[in-house]
Amino acid sequence: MFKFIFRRLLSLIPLMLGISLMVFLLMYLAPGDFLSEARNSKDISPEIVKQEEIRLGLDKPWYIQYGRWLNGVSPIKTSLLLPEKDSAKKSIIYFGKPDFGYSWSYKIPVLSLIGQRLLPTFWLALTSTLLIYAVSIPLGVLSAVKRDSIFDRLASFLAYASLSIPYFFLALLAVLFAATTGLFPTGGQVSIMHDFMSPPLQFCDYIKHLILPTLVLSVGGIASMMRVMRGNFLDYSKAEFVTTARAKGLSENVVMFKHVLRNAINPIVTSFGFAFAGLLSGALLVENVMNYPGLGQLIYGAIIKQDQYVVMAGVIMGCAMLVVGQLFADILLALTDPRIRLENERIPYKKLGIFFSIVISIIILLTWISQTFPTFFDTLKSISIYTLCVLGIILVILLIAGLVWAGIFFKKNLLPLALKNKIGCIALFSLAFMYLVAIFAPFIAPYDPTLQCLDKSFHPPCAIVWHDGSLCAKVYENVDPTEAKYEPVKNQFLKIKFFSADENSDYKIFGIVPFKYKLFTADSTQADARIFLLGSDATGRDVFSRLLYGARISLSIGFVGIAITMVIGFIVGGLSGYFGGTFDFITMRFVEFLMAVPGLYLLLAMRSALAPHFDSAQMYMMIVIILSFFGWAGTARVIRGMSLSLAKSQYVQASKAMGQSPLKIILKHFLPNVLSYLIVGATLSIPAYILGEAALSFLGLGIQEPSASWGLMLAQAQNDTKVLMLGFWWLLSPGVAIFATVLAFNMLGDILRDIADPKKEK
Amino acid sequence: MVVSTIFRHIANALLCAFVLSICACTKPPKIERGNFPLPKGVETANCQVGKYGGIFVLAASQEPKTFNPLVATDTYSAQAISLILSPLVTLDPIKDEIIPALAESWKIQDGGKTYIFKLREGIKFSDGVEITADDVIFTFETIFKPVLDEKGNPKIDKSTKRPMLRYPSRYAGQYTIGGDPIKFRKVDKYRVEFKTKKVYAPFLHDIGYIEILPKHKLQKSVEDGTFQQTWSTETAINSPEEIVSSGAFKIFSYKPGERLVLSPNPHYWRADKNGQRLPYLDFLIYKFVADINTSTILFATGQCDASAVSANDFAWVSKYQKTYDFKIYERGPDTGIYFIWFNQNPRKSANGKPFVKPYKLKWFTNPQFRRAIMSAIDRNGLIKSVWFSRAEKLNSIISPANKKWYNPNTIKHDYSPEKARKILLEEGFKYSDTGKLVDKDGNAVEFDFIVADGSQNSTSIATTFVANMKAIGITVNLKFMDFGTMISKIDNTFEYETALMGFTGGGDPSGGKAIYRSDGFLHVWNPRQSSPATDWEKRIDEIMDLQEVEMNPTKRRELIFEMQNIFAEKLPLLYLITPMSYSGISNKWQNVKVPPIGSIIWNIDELYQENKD
Repeated sequence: MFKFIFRRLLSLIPLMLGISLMVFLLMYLAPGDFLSEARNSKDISPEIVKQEEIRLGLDKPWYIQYGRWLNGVSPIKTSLLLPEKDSAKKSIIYFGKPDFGYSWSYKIPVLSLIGQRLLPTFWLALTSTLLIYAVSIPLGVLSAVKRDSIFDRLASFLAYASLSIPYFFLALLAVLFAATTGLFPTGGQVSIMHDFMSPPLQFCDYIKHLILPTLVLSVGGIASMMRVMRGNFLDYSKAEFVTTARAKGLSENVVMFKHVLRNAINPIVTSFGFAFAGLLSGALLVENVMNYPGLGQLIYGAIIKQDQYVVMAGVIMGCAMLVVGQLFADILLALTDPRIRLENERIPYKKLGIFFSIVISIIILLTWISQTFPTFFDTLKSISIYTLCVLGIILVILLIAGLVWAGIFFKKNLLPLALKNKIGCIALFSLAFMYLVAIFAPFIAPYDPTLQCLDKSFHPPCAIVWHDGSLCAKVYENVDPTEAKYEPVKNQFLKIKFFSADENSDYKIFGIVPFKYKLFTADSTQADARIFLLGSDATGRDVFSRLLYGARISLSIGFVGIAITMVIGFIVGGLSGYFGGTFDFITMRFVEFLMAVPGLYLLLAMRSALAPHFDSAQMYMMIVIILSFFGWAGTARVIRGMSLSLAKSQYVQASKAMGQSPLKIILKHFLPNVLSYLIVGATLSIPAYILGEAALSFLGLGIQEPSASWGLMLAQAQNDTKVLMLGFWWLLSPGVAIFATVLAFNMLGDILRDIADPKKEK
Repeated sequence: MVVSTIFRHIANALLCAFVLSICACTKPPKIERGNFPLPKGVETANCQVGKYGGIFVLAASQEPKTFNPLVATDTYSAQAISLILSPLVTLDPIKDEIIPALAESWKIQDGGKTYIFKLREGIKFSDGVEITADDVIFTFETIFKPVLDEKGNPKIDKSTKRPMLRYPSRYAGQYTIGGDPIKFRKVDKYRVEFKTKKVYAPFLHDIGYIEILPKHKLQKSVEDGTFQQTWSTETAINSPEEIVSSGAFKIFSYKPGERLVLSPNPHYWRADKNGQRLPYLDFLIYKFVADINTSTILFATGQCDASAVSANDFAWVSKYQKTYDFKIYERGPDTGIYFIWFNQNPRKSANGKPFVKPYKLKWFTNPQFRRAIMSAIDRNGLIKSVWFSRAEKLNSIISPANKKWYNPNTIKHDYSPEKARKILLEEGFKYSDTGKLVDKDGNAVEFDFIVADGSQNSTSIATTFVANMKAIGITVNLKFMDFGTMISKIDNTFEYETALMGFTGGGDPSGGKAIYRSDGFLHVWNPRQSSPATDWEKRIDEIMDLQEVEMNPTKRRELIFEMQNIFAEKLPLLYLITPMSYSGISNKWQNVKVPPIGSIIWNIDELYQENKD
């Protein structure tokens, strides 16, 4: 046991090294630095900026900066890396306290800064985890016991629904709720009078401030945990020992709560540590929107301000907590479940040696190159964009082939079964409808998504009425321009013309067939006669049109992303399953590394490093790449497991013996076997991409104006308080669209899984 | 059953917590004001006499980064410090003139080159140590403290030929007048003398920038080199009493990410007519919130006492005026200026590539081209749609809010796409068959436009600009980037074509030197020129030199007016709009005096509550 713990903790060291190097490089690649703000200040002269630059060591190349940081953190230090004036005082190698450096913006040691912020996040994660367990276990058990009852159906629908609401959207609504009702505080960890309270009241004060963030943070967790609990419970209720117990004549209550529950609850309770650690780093968005002073808020701010050391320490802290949480989960499981033994295989020193020498030689090579060719990284930056483009084209061809194949497979094997299921049918048809609408957006949307009408900002949705023998929209008048209050004008109507020709349109169906018609337009000669089906935004752009055009981005991003993920995941997983050995070892360590990284933080760092090199159109591709960069690891791991067992099967052995190439074996023998897993996995992870894009755009880091995406449109409601306070509710419609899409995908994925799962009885 | 019992327990616990949290309001502790006798040099405030008590709550979207005046570079730190430490003189925003603070009076001699300040006698820091000329001298010595080499001589910076500073701060530049640091000397215990190399008109204004540091607290750290880390936020967290105060308040407690609590300085140098020492407040609390939006919501829902309300939010905040009993004052246009500009930098990068493509530089350096673009921006439409008519068009490089210096008669460029097309055609531009604008040599007129992300309003401005340019046949590629990236492009790599930005304004025009002068580093369209690129830039440099030595206020004003005329005519910056600014304050506070510009609670030490509820 102790050996196991020790080894796990030891494995943290290379992980931390890797992550810190990655984060550091990303921060370095991001243009601008901590002093950017000072540079633009009227009253700070460039000389001061220069001196500060030297003081912070920003004038040195990145490897020296990183070396200094490492030197500070490690307990064994060398004076070679210290600035000149300090290095004379110390011997070449000496021991010292680990030092994570100073926060440049707060001017206090990073550790004490993080210490201040860690506790609030810790409490938030703890209460959320407790809430999740307290609610989801009883609910899961109940809905399993009363399987297929109304309660079960309602509970699982609610679970779907709550899984499909974007976190940040919920947080936004919670803040609005708190602000307008005054029932809850709008942020902070304690109230203003906290210092003057007696201890029990202080405790209550903490609780009061935790309620809303806890609720928001645990909604998704409750839903997924409940589904797992229900599934586990159902699985065990079919187990043989249950039948035995029933046959012995035990009462149903005893069978259910003594035999089934104990077994089913085991893996869930033991994963407490993991869930807890996940929430610790997952709280970033909630903390930011709800203004809860935790670690996530601190790190987000630090990334924006490029306060390097805070970001480094924060990300490492988040990652260490994930690993320790996982460790706890494993230990708990081993303690409670006698069937599970902690893996005790020998340490593969040789493989580890190869792995490390590869990593170290890459680092040394990078250092050497950047030292001898100072412009190398600039060239690399520009080259990498071109390589990315070329790679992208190859990938696209691969993807299209993959998608077509998967589509055929889907149609032949899964579609007919999915259509037999009522819910599956609804989900499929609503998705098909949404994609059709997105594809034909230029035809259906009445206006260009960037067409402004500055006279009609925040116009409410037009009422559609039957008037004078045709469908008409009411005409509105801005009765109070100081708060954009519109009222319908009596007896004035705008006729709606269907299938009207539109000369200005350069729309081509699928980019080939020119098509100069609009589904509907206003029948008026006035240039600014508009029909706003879903109102207009701050510069009078039609929200309905933007929603349709935004759908093209939001809906396709999932498909493209998932295609990349699946292809890479399949190739890497298949190869490492096929070859095994050192190749397998190295790729799997890399996969584990990616899975251990706190995704959102790295996502932010990556975005700020890469974004300046891309413009708005390329940004779309970049988000896909960033999102899939983290996505493929999980797929690769599962596929590797599947192909490991496939590689041992006789027909694979036979074709190996016949001398078929590995690629052929992987494509011909592995792929058909894992395809249904891939499709189900893809359907279930598309929502993650849609939500990921929305979250990035919402934080202002994704799709940029004047393009439209659902997340970006929602950001408007968050950034501009008057939208919510003056009741321009139609600007929240993208939130509903995200919700509906994600819901449909989740339902479809679940049904496909049931179909593809051979264990499930039909 | 077990489960239901557990549920019952949980429900009970939650109910208890809820009930308790509702009664979670307690009285703050009584504040010890010490009843120290008033000093000889006390200032008697000319305000209505009030009574002690009350808690004033403010929401701030960012925290102070330090409480050390020489380290602070951001407004939020400066704001907190200004409540804790007093400068020699300060600005009365109502009368718009310099009034005494720690210095009771001053004499100007030597034709404006010598200033002698007399400190108030007997005034003390919050720990009871007297404030004397030594503290003033200490402050200025610290600003100019040089780095010493092995022999004990000041090290000289090779590029600037000035001594390297041990604690570089903006003040060293500010108090370097005519190329030399100002000279300062202790005359006696209460008198200090300042000498400048040449006459410097805004001296009195500028000397009030720096708060006087307590020598007895900071001398040790200045000597041992830890000065920049002293009075950090950590000091405020762990030992707030270390940060002694000469202003109205001292730090009571500081919780990062949450709030800063200030309590009255028992030795403050102001008192009311009845001899009650100011301030009246028991506590002043800054609550830190995520962003400006949250702070506005807090104010609108009665959870804090005063707040600036942006033109954008006025429409909804004003609806809560009755419910939460506050009042919003209209403060006129904002002091900041917001503009779009073209990169006119003719230089080349290190690898010989010009920063701006030569054919584009030809457009950008043509004032007529800039005038055409200016006429094509629909500022009226923006004002109407985005600001609900609560904004004004900006026509000068100085905002109309700065009444003392604003020139109302500069050339105005009204919205007229027709005029824009006409100017462009006159300048030799043509329209292609597809309606795109091309220049004489057949290059399509198209440029990149960089904007910092984050603000909804700048996004609206940017998208409208793109639409306006499309209307006159110009393609604009909008690029959003974070502020840091944008600054490095503007200031460092110069790889951009058009940009949108704003500067905060107000105060003496000398403060804008870095923008106006051709060698200034914020002369954004073509910064740090070795000699002015155009005749009009040369004239502006001359004006900036002249106005600094001009002691006659009317003549100085004429010079500044001329400068504004030149900028409005040549349009290196295309001015956008300036929103109206509003400030709200809860009606329970008395003695509120609303100045034309600046903070509404500038006289926070005089505010009091009539009936404590």
